[in-house]
Amino acid sequence: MEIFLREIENLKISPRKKLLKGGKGNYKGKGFGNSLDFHGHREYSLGDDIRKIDWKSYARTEKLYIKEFTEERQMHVNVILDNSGSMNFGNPNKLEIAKMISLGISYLTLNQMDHLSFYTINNKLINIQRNIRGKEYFYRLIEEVSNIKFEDTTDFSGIFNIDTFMSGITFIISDFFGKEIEKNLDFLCSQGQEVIAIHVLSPLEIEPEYEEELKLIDIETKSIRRIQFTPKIKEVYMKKMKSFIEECKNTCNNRNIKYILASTDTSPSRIMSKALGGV
Amino acid sequence: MKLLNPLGLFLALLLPIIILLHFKKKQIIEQKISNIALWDEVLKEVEGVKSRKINKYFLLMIQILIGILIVVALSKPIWIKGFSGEEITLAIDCSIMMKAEENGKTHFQVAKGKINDYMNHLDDATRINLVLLKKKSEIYLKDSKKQDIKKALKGIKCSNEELNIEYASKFLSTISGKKILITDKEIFLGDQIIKVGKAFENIGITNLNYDYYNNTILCRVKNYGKRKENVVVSMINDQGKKDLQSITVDSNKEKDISFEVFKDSKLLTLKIENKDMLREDNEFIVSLKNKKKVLLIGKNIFLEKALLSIPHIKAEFINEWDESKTGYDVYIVDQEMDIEKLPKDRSIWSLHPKFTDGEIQEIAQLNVVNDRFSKSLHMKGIYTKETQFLKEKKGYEPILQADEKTLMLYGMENEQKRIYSTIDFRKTNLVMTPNFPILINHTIDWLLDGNKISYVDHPAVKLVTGENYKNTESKKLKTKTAIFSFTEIIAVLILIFMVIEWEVYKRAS
Repeated sequence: MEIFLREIENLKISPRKKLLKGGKGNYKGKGFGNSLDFHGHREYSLGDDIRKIDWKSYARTEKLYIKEFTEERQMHVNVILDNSGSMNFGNPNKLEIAKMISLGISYLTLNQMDHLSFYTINNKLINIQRNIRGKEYFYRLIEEVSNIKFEDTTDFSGIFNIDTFMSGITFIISDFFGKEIEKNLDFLCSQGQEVIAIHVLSPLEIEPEYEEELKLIDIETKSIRRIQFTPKIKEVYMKKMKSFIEECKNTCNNRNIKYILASTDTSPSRIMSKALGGV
Repeated sequence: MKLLNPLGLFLALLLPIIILLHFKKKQIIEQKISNIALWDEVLKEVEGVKSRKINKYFLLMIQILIGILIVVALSKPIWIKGFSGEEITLAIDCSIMMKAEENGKTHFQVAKGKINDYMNHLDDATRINLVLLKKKSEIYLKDSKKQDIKKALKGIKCSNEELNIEYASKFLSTISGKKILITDKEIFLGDQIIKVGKAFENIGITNLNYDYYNNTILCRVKNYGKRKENVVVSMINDQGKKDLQSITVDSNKEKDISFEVFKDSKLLTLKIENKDMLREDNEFIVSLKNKKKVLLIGKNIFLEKALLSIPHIKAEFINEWDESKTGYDVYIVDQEMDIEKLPKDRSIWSLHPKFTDGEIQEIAQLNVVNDRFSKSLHMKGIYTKETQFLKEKKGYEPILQADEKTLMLYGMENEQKRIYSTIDFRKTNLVMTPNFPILINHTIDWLLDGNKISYVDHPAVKLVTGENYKNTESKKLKTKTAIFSFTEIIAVLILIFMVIEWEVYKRAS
């Protein structure tokens, strides 16, 4: 873990959008405030705070001008980690990789003194940590995340249960084998969230290599299918998987959501660089 | 059909493994997956493909067939053409080329094995002749039983000589009965052929020559193979000094490479550093100290001076023939004597032949009529008179003529190089011009086969001679293979079945 944290130390989470809500902080807000970032001049109008009048401009122009500064707000980072049964797959395990990525994001958030909320989602949403700030929370978070178990099916509708959203970034780390993902992404976007979707898949899911006679057992539903794993089947499966990935990518792109395909044979630090690069 | 390696059939015991592996592969394996919905879509799409069962067993059949073919190929099946006569001649090629090594065995060793295989197929009563083909082919055993031939074969060794096809063909034609040739060459002698070895991938030194004026040695390298080769040639002198040069030689082509000889070298070893099939023709050792020796019998001041001016020979002069004077490379006889007394394996130039046809009385213009001898000669204004001329001689070509009468001719007689001349050097102005030593130099060069240096150790420079023998082409059609190996055909079949197997496997849905 230490090596991983050292690898990602230089990364930074910063929003692309201006923040709408939240207390005073270090990030550009949508309105004007008392920060040191000068925005511009505007003519004085009745009701304006007379302390903001630029008397030097008045001396030059004999007109009253108000000096405006950008508003600075705090950023809130939400991490939603999929811990459904389907994440218990592959070697290295998808959930283990997903846990590493989510901890990496949490570490960066807390390290840069931003607010963090951590959720897990399967058929229900569980709030692990809410609105925490400061590095001291990280070690408790590690313990809690390591205790997360894979169970049940995936139902993204649990996201509707998050009561308040402060302005910031929401990371969803999942294999997206679940219901109603589009609706929930729409919901997150409507809440002014900048969403980053990290799609975790095992190489064995992308290009399966199995014996010929197979009894397939679904980890989540325990459903069974008997198949002859022939080259033809493999070819069709790979085609389907490719179109599924494309579909996920398009769903995200259409909503201005950043999409990252994270194969578990890629190191978590590399996945994070891809996810945070340009954010 | 016969199996050369019947033990290979024991491998058939491994065939059930293919069946076991096939059915093991068919055992159902439980595989956990993350999402069944995707697999359901896949199954829906491939539904309706019913050929699976047929393909499944077809695949197993092909695999078993491939297994059987591998077992048969390892057993080395051969087909030997039947022989029902009473007398048969087995002619084994014992020339230097048969020393070529392939897969750790020389072609000669393989040939011996094949003869044994062939003889196993013959009746005990069959009379067998064993002929050894080389420079001078010979009969080794006549009317022998196959047990005697097998015993004799053990003691026969391959020679360092070239194969003279023309001689071999003539020799075989004197023997009655069916003739089987065992060789690694594409030659067609006898009635049937047993071919050993594959492509002859070899590089060899075919000639060396020393330029006494420039102190350089010229090495001719031949690439017998089918691919272009980069050949590395080294020259080492008696003091251990070494020079290396590399040269690219195209397939079936010769190229010269020249080395500047180290000062005070007495002995030189020219060696091809590349690894090839035939090692024997890779190293030549030459002596620069021991020059070619020429003996002039009789008194002839013009010839003496001309011979002394040639740097690559050591000329000695005696007035009368002395039988102790052996070991010379060329004998020049300028007196009345029976030249048949001279060594049979050395070149001779007789200035007093007996087959004269008359005398040219008047002054006549001298001409060198043969290209081989006329290089750098300007014969304008060169005359002779009162000289006897020679009769035409079968197998001989003229060198010098005057008035269209031959005064000097050259040719081979009983494989001995001979020159006869009647020109009297005291009655021509030829000796007073620079043309004279040049003509003598050309003459000596021909008599010495162009070799200006003495070899200490080297094998046959030509691996095959008499290749242009007329009858080889016509015999080509008549000659057939006596032992036919199926291994290669089976190997091709295995490859074809493997392709089919892959296609069936790919299409199995």
